[in-house]
Amino acid sequence: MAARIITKHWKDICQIRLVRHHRRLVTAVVGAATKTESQHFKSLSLANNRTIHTSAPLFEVVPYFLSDIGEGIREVQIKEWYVKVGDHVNQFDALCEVQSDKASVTITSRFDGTVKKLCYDVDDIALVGKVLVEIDTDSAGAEAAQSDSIEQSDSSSSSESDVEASSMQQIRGHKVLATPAVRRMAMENKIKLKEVQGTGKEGRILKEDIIRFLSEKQMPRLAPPIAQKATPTPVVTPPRVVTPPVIGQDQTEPIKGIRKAMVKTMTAAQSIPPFGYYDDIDMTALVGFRRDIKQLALDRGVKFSYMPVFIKAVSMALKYYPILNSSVDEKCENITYKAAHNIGLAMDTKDGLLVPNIKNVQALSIFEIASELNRLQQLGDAGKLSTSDLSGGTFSLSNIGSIGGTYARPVILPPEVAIGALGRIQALPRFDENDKVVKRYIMQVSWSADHRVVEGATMARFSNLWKSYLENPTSLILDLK
Amino acid sequence: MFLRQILKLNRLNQAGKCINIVTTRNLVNHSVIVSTSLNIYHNLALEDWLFENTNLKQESVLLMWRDSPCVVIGRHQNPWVECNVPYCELFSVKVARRKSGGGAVYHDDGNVNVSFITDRSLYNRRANLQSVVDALADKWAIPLSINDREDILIYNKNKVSGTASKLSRDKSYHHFTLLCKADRIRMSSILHSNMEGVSSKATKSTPAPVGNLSDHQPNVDFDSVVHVISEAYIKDRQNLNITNVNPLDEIMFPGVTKHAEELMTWGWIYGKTPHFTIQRTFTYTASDSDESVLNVSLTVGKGRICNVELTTVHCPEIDAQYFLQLKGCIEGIVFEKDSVLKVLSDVKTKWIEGRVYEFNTSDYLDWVLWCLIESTGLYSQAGSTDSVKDVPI
Repeated sequence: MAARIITKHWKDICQIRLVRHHRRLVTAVVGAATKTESQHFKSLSLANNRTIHTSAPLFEVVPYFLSDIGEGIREVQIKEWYVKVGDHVNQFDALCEVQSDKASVTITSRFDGTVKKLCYDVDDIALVGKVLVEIDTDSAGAEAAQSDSIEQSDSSSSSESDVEASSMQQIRGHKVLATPAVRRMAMENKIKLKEVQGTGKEGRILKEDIIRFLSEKQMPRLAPPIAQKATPTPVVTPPRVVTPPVIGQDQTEPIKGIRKAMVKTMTAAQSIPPFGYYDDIDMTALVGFRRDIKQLALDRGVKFSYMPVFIKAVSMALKYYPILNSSVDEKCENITYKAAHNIGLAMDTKDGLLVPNIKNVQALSIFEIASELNRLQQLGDAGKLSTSDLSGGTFSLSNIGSIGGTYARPVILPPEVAIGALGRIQALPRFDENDKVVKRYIMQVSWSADHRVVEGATMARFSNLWKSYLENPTSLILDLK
Repeated sequence: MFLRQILKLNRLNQAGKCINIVTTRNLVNHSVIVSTSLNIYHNLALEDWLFENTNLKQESVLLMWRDSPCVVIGRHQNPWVECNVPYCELFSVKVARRKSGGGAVYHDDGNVNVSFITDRSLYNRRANLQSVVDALADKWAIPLSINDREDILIYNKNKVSGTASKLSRDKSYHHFTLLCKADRIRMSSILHSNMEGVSSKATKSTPAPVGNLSDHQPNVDFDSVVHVISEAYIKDRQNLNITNVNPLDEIMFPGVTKHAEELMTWGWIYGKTPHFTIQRTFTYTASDSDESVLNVSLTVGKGRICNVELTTVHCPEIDAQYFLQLKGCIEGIVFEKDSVLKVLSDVKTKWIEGRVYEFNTSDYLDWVLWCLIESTGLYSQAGSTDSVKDVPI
């Protein structure tokens, strides 16, 4: 433990020494995405003893970062603002009151200026190291800074937030992450950082990216001469392809929120070897069933659709094939047969893909499933699904058919082992027993399952059982528990 | 050179954190002040004065006091939710809002308040609590421990202390209660609110089972505890100098009265409550008509009722404009028992004059007024009022 503290503090001390060397230094610490960057930077600064500053001096509006409160606290809640946009503040004037863990902290301003923007509202959670407020400083050439305690190296955990803070810059509202060394390189080569694709952590632009960008800029110049040489003298001149000018610019933004969660889940799902099983279900009997039930359900105040029947049928079939309702651990060493059938429904909400689940479907009637589904859909539309709704699922269904499509290849959501995707119900011609062509309602279903624990035959038998429940709703009633 | 210093300091620091190289504990003077007043507002004012005016780079102060029965809520809390405000008003239990965060506590003369006022760089809650726990253990062998919420527990079970702190740019104070012989039964009834239907973002208190130091050691009392903690703080028994002060002494503490006055204002204690909403539903069953349902939604901000929404289902034939009149009168009044009652009496008078309040509607209208009073929760000190007739309008 002591060794770790020493190295951490050694880094702090090193960085503080840099401050004392360079008086015009913007922030006390310099961030680096990779070790090579920091080494490069350190050798640069210590050897040449040059002044280091970010491009911040060019701007008068200074982002004011929330510094470390101490005790390893990473976030605080804003309780009261003492200033509003347009107010003039002096150095050491109170800006706001925040609360964390029974400590009420008054954040004061570090310089004189006019408040430009309050980055949080009352009751929002503010993160340490992120911008708290933007101040239009009176003196030009003021530098982006953090609220105090930066000269006091009291907090052991300040180094990380400082690293984050210094390398962040707001250029016209678009965050570009890059170390000062990289920025200088870009400036020397007259490259706009916005145009460079960053490959470092959180989209950080590295030296290699600048080099790559430079080499790419050379490439297009080679293309036109080759194209000119390649035009032969054919009988029929090929039509001139006019490449339309690119309107707009590439926009890079960090992946966050639900999409980020999706990235994580799907990357984890990649380790599962899936197999697919596809089939067609004759829904004609069920279409008639729904016609009758619809009014009855509406009287009870619930909008009825096919999903509750599908879900109940899945649960009933899972009773005979419990391996499909199981869960494997990461290393696939243990398999847990889950008792509860918590069937998840893939929902396309305005925030992204969410899979809330209905708990204990084995104990619910179709009507109860329908009301629960309604509730989840309403919550999903409002963006108010709770963590308990979103966790604990054991099997999933995706009704991609409601948007369109027939067959799909759904991705299994770990730690589940199976998932089904339901296509659109289409009216298609089929042959009946008397070889006559009749109208049938057909829906395609696509199952994916984890081939490490589920055999193709099991999936096939499960699908057949589920199919039989749906094609003969009366058999559903027979086995209903 | 740097490395060796860091290693030395790490070994010295029991709390496991690196002390700032610039200001170490031993370079500042330590002084102990004990207040002779039992008035919570005066004592909190003294604490604020010391926090603002002491040169904490040269001196750290340990302030201790006790109060007559009162409830002290955190800076961002809702007093109506945290304690039984009508009960407090009835039995002269003061309600105070302190400037540090955290939850609501009950003080009486069986409780010692301890406040460590130090420079920001010396702020270390756990070390403060640990020194007190060690001192009490040394003297009386009381089995105390500190949990992760920085409460002091006796027998690892019952809470004898709750902590809160206030930080500014270069100063801090960490204060906590220490229950020696507090009246637990009264505490639990006072810290229990009867308000229903409240939704607010104010800081909520975390209830916990409480104990007293006297549970283990009946000899514990205010003076002995003060003495024990001071000894641990000063560390030099020869020079143990505890100064007893009157918190409102303007010669020693010029300007302290202004602090006390601010803490006593209604606007500070109640007006600083973050916005909250009360939502209640009431059902009225008359003998000869259908059930009538009334939804009341009140929004209170800055201590005033800023919005009232009344929704009725199946109400008797009363023109909506009278409800609007009621709404208009209530909005903007101070959220306080007397003003609410006064306004509702005025409304009833207006209704009588406007011939709305007739024999067939009087019951219903009385009931509506009662629902409003019930929603505010300001009137009842021991649960809901039993019947409409109890309301003095």
